[in-house]
Amino acid sequence: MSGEVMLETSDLSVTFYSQAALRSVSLSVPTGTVMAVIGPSGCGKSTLLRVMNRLAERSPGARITGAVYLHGENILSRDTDLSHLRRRVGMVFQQPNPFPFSIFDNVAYGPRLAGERRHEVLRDTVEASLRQASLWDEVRGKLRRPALSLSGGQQQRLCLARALAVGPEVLLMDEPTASLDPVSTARTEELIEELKHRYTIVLVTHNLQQAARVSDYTAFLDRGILVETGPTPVMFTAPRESRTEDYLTGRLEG
Amino acid sequence: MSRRRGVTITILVLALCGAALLLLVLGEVVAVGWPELGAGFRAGPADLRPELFNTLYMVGAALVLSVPPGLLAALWRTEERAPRLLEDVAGLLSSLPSVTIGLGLFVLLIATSGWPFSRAAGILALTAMNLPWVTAASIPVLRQVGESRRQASLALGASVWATAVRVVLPEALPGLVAVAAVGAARLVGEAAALLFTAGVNAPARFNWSPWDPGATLAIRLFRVGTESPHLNAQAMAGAAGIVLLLFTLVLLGVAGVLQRYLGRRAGVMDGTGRPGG
Ligand SMILES: Nc1ncnc2c1ncn2[C@@H]1O[C@H](COP(=O)(O)OP(=O)(O)O)[C@@H](O)[C@H]1O
Ligand SMILES: [Mg+2]
Repeated sequence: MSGEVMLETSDLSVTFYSQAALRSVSLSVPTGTVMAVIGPSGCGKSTLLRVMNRLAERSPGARITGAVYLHGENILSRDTDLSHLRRRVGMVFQQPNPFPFSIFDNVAYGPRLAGERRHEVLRDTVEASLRQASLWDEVRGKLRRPALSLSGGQQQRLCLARALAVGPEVLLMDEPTASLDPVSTARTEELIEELKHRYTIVLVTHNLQQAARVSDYTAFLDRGILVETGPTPVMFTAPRESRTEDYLTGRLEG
Repeated sequence: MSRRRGVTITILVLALCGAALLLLVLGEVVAVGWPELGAGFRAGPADLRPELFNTLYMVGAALVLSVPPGLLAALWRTEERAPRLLEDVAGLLSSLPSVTIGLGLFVLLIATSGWPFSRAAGILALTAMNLPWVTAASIPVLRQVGESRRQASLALGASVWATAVRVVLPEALPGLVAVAAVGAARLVGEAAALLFTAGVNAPARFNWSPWDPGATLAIRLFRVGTESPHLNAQAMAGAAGIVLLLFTLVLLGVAGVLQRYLGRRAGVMDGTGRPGG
């Protein structure tokens, strides 16, 4: 861990039709770490992720103020190249959302968009990405099969491989295990442990044990406000705020 | 008997009555036209081939002119979030009576600018009818494509238009084929908009000129059936009706097969439209 900051939000506020979803959130994510974002549903976790790759502004009525720095550069600025940003900041969604293409074409989607046409290069990238997502052993020799023929857990790892194939620095994961069975969930958690050596990860999760197991830092959001953030072991054993303690002990669910 | 079953049986009986009535009417057309059908494909007063050719020519040209821009307008609305007005105007224009489009173009082109009653004028009328219709009919088809796949594509760095081409269009293709086919069938059966524009005559000799008169099968059916002095005018109209029906059935049948094929292929197609791997 270098102590360098990869991603930082400063005074970030988001409203949808003047309904506040995030209120003045200032949070920094050190390079090469896993930051877990926890909080009751509707507290703004997904919105926070979706600002970090600028998908939030697509929602009708969205208004975003403040700043989000990636390597010190404000990505909310008007002249940010969105394609370039989104190749640096990848995303895995809550529901697996593979394209109705073959397994190969799903993973090759990003590199092809970036102009890669050489089949050998695409093949190598696809293999490397599937290996990193620990899906390779299950799909080798079946890359032409439809992605939708895979199981839910496999589809989610395929979506991860698809995001990795673009070569991001940051991975945004929005409750990636919410729709998976316990075995797939455990596998995905192991994967996150492996991936954090190469990527900076922001992991939204509903599952407090998951946050405790895989994250280095935790941020607790409540009604759009960042209540507390700090190293995960400290947050889980000695939270400073009583609201955090209430949430962690299950007295604040909703 | 339960109330539920009573309703089901009533609906079934009504549907059967409707189907029987339709079959009766269509059967009548076939019965009347059958004796003259052979003459429709030989030189002579009953020859249908000029009208058949005009129908293919004009509907084909109108589709080429109207489907791409209509689809583009629909994409502009669904993908680029163009103002709602676009959708409302397309909906309004596509529900105008087609005879008013014909009249408008008649005044503009033929009465004012000296165009002849021609295939070209007819093509413009069909294009004007089909453009807003394709736009309005494509929008719901494009909306059916899952927002989650759009977001996945954008999150991988694709632009809105790259997403439209690689994700939205391939997934919407079967539905869009249906839109194009129903649009084509509407144009094939159109008479009102063509009366004042394409005219009621077909060229005596085969040629491709857009300035020659452009009577279609539907126009012939209307004209021969109502004002021809021929003794067997009804039979000639019936023959045109049979060809028109067959034409429409074949069109929708081919579209249906294509739709099923595309739907099945969608599972293994890549974003560039080629089977990948
Ligand atoms: N596209 C949107 N339009 C309107 N309101 C939204 C939209 N997305 C989120 N919100 C609102 O913003 C708040 C935060 O939502 P979200 O970030 O999805 O919460 P979480 O992921 O923590 O459950 C919620 O009140 C939600 O209703
Ligand atoms: Mg959420």
